[in-house]
Parts: sequence; C-alpha cells; structure tokens
Amino acid sequence: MSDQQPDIIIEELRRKILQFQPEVKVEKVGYVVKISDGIAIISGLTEVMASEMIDFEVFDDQARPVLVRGVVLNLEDDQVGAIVFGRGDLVSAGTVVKSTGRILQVPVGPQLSGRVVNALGEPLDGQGAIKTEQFYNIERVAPGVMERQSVNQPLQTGLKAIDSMIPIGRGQRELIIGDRQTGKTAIAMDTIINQKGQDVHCFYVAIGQKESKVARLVAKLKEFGAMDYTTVIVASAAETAAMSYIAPYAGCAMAEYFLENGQDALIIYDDLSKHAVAYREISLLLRRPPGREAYPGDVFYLHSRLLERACKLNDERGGGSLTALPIIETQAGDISAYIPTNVISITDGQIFLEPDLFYKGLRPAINAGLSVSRVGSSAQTKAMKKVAGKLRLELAQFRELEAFASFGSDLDEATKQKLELGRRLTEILKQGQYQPLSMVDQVTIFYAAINSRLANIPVDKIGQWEKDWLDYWHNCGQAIADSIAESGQLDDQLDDQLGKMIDDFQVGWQQ
Amino acid sequence: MAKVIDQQLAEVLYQLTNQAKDKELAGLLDKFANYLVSSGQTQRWPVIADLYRQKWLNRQGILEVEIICARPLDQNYLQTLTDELTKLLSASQLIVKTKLDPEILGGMIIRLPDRLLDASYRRQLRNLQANLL
Repeated sequence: MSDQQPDIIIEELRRKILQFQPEVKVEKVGYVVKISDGIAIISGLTEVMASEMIDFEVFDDQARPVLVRGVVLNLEDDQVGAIVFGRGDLVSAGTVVKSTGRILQVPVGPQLSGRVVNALGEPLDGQGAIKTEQFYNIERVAPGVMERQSVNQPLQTGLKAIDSMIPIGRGQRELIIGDRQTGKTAIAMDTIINQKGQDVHCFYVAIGQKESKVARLVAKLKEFGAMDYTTVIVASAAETAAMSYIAPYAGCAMAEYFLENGQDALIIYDDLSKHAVAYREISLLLRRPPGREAYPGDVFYLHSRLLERACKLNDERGGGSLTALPIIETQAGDISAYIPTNVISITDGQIFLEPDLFYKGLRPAINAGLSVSRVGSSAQTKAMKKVAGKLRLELAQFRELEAFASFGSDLDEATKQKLELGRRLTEILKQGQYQPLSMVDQVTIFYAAINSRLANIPVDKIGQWEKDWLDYWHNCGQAIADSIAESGQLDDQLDDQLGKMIDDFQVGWQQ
Repeated sequence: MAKVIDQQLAEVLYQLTNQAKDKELAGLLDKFANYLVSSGQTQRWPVIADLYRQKWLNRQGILEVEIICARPLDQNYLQTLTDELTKLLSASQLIVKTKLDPEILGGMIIRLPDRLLDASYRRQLRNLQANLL
C-alpha cells in the first residue's frame, strides 16, 4: 500500500493538471494609493459596494500569495477608503486590490462551539480548520417588530443578587457597567458557566483585551466544562482597530445562527467601550468629522444596530432567542459619560458595579439602587418572584434606615429588627466567583432569610450556614427541589414542606 | 476657513483653463502660480498637476492603458490591439504605455484605472498552483 501511494498522488496531480482550464477574465480592480495604520486609500474600484469585501494581491518573501482581506468603508468621488485585516504590512502603494462582490461574511454553525476564533471566524486554538456549510453577513438587519415576542423565559445567571433583584430574560439586553476591576467579566463568566445543560449556546467576544486574560478565561471555561457550548471570538489588543471594530458583529452573526434555528443563544461583548474607541480610531483615520469626545457622529448607531439584533423571536419564526450582555467600563464611576449613556439608553437595563462595595467585600459588587432590569421580571419564575419581591423592598428599607441609624443608637425594636434582617440579606447576597447556584437553591436561601429563619444566626456565620444548608438540601430535599423546578412555583404545600425542612436543619445545625 | 484640498484646487484650475481663450492661458497660469507661491503651497503642485491631468483626460474621454508583456510587441500587432481596445472601451483616444516585465513569463497584462486583464503565464501558473494545493 505504502509503495503505491506516491503513484496515486502523482496520478492525481497529473489528472488535475490535465483537467486545468486556463481562464482569463477582466477583473474589477483598484490600486492602493496610500496605506497607514490599517487604513488603505484605493483608487479605481469604481463599482465597489459599501462594506464589500476586497482582496489585496500580496505575496510573502517566497513569492507565495497571501490572503489579505479588507472592507470598504468610505466611498468617495474618485477613491475609496478601506480597513485592512491581517497582514497589512505586506500591502504597499501600488498593490492591486480586487473586489469580490460580496459583503463581509463569517462561518456560522454548530461546528463553532468549543472553538476560539478571530473576528473573521478563523481558528486560533490550533484545533484545525472549521468546516461549516453556512456563512452569514456580519452586518444584518435586526428582526422587525412583528417577528418578535416579549421576553417570557428566564436566563439564569446563577448569581443570587441578579436572579432575585435584576432578573434577565432570554432575548433581553442587559448592560454590565462599572469601573475597572469591579468584577464585570466575572459576572459574564459565571453566567456562561451556569448555562451548562440549559441549551443555551454562549458566545464571548473579547474586544481589545490582553491575550493572557483571554487565555485564562478559556482555561477556566474548560475547567468548568463550559467550553463545550461556548465560542470565544478574540480581537486582541495586538490586532488592528479594524479587527476590534468587526468582532462584535461577527460574534453576533455566529450567535444569530442559533437564534434563527429556534434555539437560545447568549452573547457577551467585553467590552463596548474599547469597541467605540476602535471605531473612533478608524473614523478619524478615514477623516470622518469628529464629534463629542472625538467620536464620530454615528457612534450611537454603531451600538444600537448591534444590540437591536438581540431579541426573542415569535413562534412563527421558531421562537429562538439571543440574549446580549454588553459590558462597559466607566472611568471613576462616571455613568454619565458619552458611551455609557448611549449604551444605557439602548439596553433593557443595567447591572451597576461599584468599587466601594467591591472593597467592602460585597461581591458581586452590585449597586442594587442603580441597577435595573426593565423586562426581565416578567420572565422570572413564580417561586423566585414570591421570595424576591419582598427581598428588594426589605433591602431598600435597610439602606435608608442604615444611613439614618448611624447618627444615633436610640432605636425602637422594629427598626432594630429591620436592620438585623437587612444585614443578613446583604450577607446572603454575597457569592464567590465560579459558584453559580440553581434557581431552586437560591429560592430556598431567600425563603429562609425573609421568613426570619436566620434571625438567630450571627451575621458572620451566615456564609457557613448557607454552605451547610445547601449540603443538607442537596442530600435530603431532592423531591421538593424537583417539584419547584418543574412547576416553577412555590405553592402553599411546598412552602410548608420547605419551611419544615429548614426548621429541621436548624435544630441539627445549632447543636 | 476650511482647508482647500488638492482636489478642489485641481478642479478650479481645470474650470479656469477650460473656459479661457488661448491668449488668456499664460496670464491665468501666472496668477495660479502666484497664489501658490504667496500662500506657501508650492509643494502641492506635483499632486495638483497630476490630478489636473487625470481630470482633463477623463473629460476628453481619453483612457490610459498599460500593457505589460514579457517580450517587446510587434508594432503592427500593438496597433491592432490599440484599435480594438479603443472600440471596446468606447474611448475617444487611448494613451498606450508598454512595459517589459520578464517576470510575467509570457502572455500579457492589460491595466486600466479600474480594471485588469491578467492573461500572463505567471497568473495561469499561480492558478494551477492554487488548484493543486
């Protein structure tokens, strides 16, 4: 067999050479006039479309052709401006540029799950080529009003503070906003990890981030078995602004494949502040007029057209959903800066993280007052709604009383009780990273808290109580857990059973 | 005041010279040169001149064509080719530049400002290479 192989290869090559038909055709071309900072100014290309893909005809030092792609952004009287992807250093003045007649596309399909790709859908994880059958344009028009339905299914993040007070529904756009180092990415990661077994395909778009950070995140996702259903799209800080600019659109197109096939997808854009900066860089290099903070005039449209693509489709369109969690980094907590206000107004709510809370040890450092979810509560399960409705109110009262109580110590009994409960509620909202909890687990903890089951436990022991309770609950409460998970409700009967179980546990625990 | 770009200066020069009579031309060019010198923009002249030339050729319907081949072309053949191309491109006149480039091995490449006909052996071999890999 091994002797025959060279013959077979030679025969195959001969066949191919004989079959080869030389063809000559007129190509629509242009020539690079100027190239700098990843932006090429090209003459010719008279019939090129906006956002059309173009190929630069370049060769490496051994005269082998290298594929260098670009996208036309500016159409002017007698020249076009384009961004260059990849080996821009090979392009020089006079380089021939060919139009392809196609808008920029990326591969889509289930084959992308578990892969790390760049903004063009090319693999970066060394696991070989990605063989997909379908390609989607990266810029697609968001589904219209009649094709949508309102959010009606929860997307569990596994974080007590979010699932109870700022619930997110499938198809919602919830902004995660905060200063650097306040745990924005941690929330996104926990959300991805918690989607295990939930039939939600996750996409994490890293825009302008350090490759070391991305490598760490991918390793963590693998450790928790979350990489099986996750695609990571990376446009690192080492790549040109052009790559950062298209990365979220490319990621969105990949996620839309699942949306359109009636499945659920979750996409995280980490982060859109860097995306806006990349777009500002491109716009200024293309000599588009600068506006506020030197951002171009269409910076709102930049993000609105991206986030509008996240939605819940109606049943005629398959009922799929695409949930978007964009991340914005603020400077010194200033949420009234240009890009943060834009994205806040586009999204269906925001999770606001504060450094002060973070350093106090309240992690996730969510500011419950400034954080809102405008549509998610309609998707919250009834059981969670029952326990969390009271939680929000109690916490709001606690914050008010706490500020007031710090002035004096002469407090009546009712106020003291409110304060004690508030301290315990604040304590149970703390949660470690990579420890997402199921909806039912969360319900039981909140149930215990608001039904005064924790009143006799010292605040510093609450963490231990929670851990021990969950162990006990996982061992003995399976039947009740299944009933709550199945019906999504906490009816009177289950309420009694759960209360009794907590009481039983308390007796043993205190001994 | 917004900066006047090269393209606009070339357009001004074209409009001026296009409407002017022959005897006025020298005076106009003097004025234009004086403007450039007085505003310290003489270094922009080569670009303006080039843009002016392209504008003039465009509006006269004259096309510039570059023909690249590996060996010198026979004069008669070149004439026939030029005539055919003029008809094909519906141009009033063609300015043909020929260039020798042994690296294309054989065949020829015809380059227009926005189109390219690459019928060189080099291209065919590259296509074959891509086909085999």
